Amino acid sequence: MTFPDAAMIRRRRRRERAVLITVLALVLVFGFLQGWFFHYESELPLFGNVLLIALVNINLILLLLLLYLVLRQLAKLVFERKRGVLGHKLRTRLTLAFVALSLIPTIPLFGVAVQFMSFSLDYWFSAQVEQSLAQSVELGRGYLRQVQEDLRAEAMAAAAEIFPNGAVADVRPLEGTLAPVFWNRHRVAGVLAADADGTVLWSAWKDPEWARFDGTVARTIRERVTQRQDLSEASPVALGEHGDALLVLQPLGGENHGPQAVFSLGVLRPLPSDLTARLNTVVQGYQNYRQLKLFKAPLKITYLIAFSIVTLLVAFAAIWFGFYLARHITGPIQSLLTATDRVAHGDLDVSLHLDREDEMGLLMASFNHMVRDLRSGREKLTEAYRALQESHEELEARRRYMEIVLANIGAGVVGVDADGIVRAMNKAAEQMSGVRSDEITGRHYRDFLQPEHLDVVKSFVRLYQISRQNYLEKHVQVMVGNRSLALLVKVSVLTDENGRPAGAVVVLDDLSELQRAQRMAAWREVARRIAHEIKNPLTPIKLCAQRLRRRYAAGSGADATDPVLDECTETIIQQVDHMKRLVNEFSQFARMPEAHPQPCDLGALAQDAVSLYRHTYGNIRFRLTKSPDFPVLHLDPDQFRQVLNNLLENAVQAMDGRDGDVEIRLDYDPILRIARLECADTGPGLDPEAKVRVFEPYFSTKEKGTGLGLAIVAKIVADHNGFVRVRDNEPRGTVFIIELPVVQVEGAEPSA
Amino acid sequence: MTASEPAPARNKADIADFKVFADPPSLKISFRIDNCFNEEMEQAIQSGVATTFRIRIVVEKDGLPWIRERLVDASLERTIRYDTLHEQYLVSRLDDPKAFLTTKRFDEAKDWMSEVRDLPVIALWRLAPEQTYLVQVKAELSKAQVPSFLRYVFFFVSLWDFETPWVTATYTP
Repeated sequence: MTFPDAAMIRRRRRRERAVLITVLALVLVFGFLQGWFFHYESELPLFGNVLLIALVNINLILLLLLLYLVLRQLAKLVFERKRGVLGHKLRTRLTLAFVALSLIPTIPLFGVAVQFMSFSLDYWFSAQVEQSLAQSVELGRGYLRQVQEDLRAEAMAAAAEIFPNGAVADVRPLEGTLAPVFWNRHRVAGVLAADADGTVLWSAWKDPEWARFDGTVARTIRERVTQRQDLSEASPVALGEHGDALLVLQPLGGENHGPQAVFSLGVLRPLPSDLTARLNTVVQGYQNYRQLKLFKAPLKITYLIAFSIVTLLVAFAAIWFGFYLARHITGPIQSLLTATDRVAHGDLDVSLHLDREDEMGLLMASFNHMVRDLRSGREKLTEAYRALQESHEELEARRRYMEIVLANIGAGVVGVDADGIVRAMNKAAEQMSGVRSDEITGRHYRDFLQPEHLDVVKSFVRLYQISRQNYLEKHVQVMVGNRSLALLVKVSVLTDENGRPAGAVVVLDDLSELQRAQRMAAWREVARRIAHEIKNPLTPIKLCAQRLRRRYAAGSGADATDPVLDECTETIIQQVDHMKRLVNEFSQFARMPEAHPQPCDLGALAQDAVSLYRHTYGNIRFRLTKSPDFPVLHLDPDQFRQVLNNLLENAVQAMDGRDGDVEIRLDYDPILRIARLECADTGPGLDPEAKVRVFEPYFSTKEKGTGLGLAIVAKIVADHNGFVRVRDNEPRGTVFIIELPVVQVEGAEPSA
Repeated sequence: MTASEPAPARNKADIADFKVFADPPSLKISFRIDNCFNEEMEQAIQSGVATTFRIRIVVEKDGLPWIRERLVDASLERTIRYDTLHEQYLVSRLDDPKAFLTTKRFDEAKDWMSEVRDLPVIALWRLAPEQTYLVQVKAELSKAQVPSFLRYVFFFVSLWDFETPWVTATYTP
């Protein structure tokens, strides 16, 4: 594989293989050298021993090295197994199989060989063999004894022949005595005489050239005499290239020398060279046999050691070969497994090193081809994904932009698909509807719309069915919670490329404030005109009615007052006063002065107002609660005094003379920085329509109400950038809520 | 003369009756090697294995070990061989005037191998008066002439090696 260290591993394995083969070869070479040395070069004393030790040690070291290499492979296999390297199981099995295949025949063979060798040694050293060899040697000895006896006889005969008259032995025999016939008759090669000290007195040889052996013969005789050995015993004499000879000395008495002076006559007969050689061979064989027998047990041990070494060599070589074969087979599989694992983990830069031509090489080539195709496919996919991602990012940016636009526009936008499922809703729509987008997105509008709102939707559906217009627009007045909203609803029907409806986009414009402002302006204009047109005739009408009353009362006397006239004029005067008050209020509403805000303690204003009403209406319980952090507000105090009066007046009138509670609550929301004034009563409350119109001028639920009190409140609050709304009180009654923005004014003293 | 080594174990070869004496003109020694033949060795000799003893003789001036002045450092060899055909033992003693000895009796041959009698080691004139000299001897099996293929055996198995400890005697002229 083309991993970073793959080439290094290959080089290391090749080097290891070379080392191992070299070691094996060296073991064989040195083993052979050792054997050769033992057989042929064993006569070199010092150098031989050193060389022998060196060879044995080298072989031992090489065997140990081989053992180390094999153990190293074994250790590697164990470590691979522990580390869970891919392919280690197959490699272990293959290695075990190869080792078993090698050892199963080797071990029995070793046992059989050792046993066979032991049996063979026992058989070789059997008693029959030794006895045969001993008999052979004994045969040789018998022959020598026979020669010895013969030589003794020949010595006696020769002595009689050489010294026929009992001549002394130190006298050299006469020339004619040792004629050729003498040598042939006695079959000896030499004859000599020695005295009792072993000194050779004279010698004669059949071949005069043999006289050079005089010294050898003399030394032999002297040794025998010195060691006081029996001189009649045959002595072997080495005659160099002529082989061995036997020397027999026949003691002779000398008449002239007395009984002590004994001479010896020696005869020497060479042994036949071929016979000597055969005897030597037999003796050598016998000696070798006995020596071998002596060393039978060490021999067995030696052979056992030799067999063990060879068996170990074979076993180590087999184990290593098993490792090699297993690696050769599992190596590519391991590479494939590792590469597959890397591909599975997404690494497609894998490429297997192809160094084989067999089916495994074909498989690896196919794998490389497959990985290349995968890599190419992935690159294309990556490219497509990148393009898609860019497109998605662009779309996302657009969507985000649209969301921002939708979130920041004042109009509420709701998207509905063709099945009526709500798909989108912006923040303005959430605020208008009072529901959160994530609560209704994905739901059908029927599931959450109230019946009143559902009617609006149905009306649009009907309108679309009638008109088939893709854009519909309609003003609707709906209640959302406690609020009355005037909405301009615009519906755009969406169609797909085939013209089929794909849903609708509903745009909601909240016109409530606008309508309220327009209505307020209209009413102020009306009030101004009414005040202008009606106020002028009222004074003359009242004066005329008073004049008529006075005239008719003066003319007819006190008792004759016409009750009808009286009642009518009184009614006229009362109605004119009422109309005058009404016109004044209209006038006041129409000419409401501009607000002059200044730091103001609304709590003090409320306290004053509540105190005033508490004294006036004893049957009503007035309460004022104020949060401790309620701030000083920037208000027009005169206008807010009127606001408080109008709210309390409205509450008192709502009680309609009954007992009840009226509470003014002043709160501050520090997060929203809003000051809140609530006026709650326990009156009968307002119906929903009244709640919608309660702040409109001239809308009143009371018979004699002008309908301007709350309109003035709304006007003043609006002039102070605040909001006023109404809701039901719990458990009964109405709550008017005024929310005012808190503006920090430094160094300002509040005024009550 | 004093022998400085303790008595060896019975089954180990040892030097016995070590004597150092002046016999003008030489200083001579006599001793005997005990237990130098064991049964295996005798069997091997009778099987024709030629066996050589080496006897080392060292004469030093008395002094500190390692720095003693060494006057003599010699060795002599004695070899015994059995002639199977003629049934006689041949003993060669290069230190002896009677260099080659032959006998049919094994005990005699062993005596020839193990006994050293009146062996001159140094001329007396080389010894300074009043100076103490150390005479040390030891004996060991030098070699056994086994057949060549059996040497391989002896590399792994030691049958009958022997080596006596050094035996020291002092001599003061």
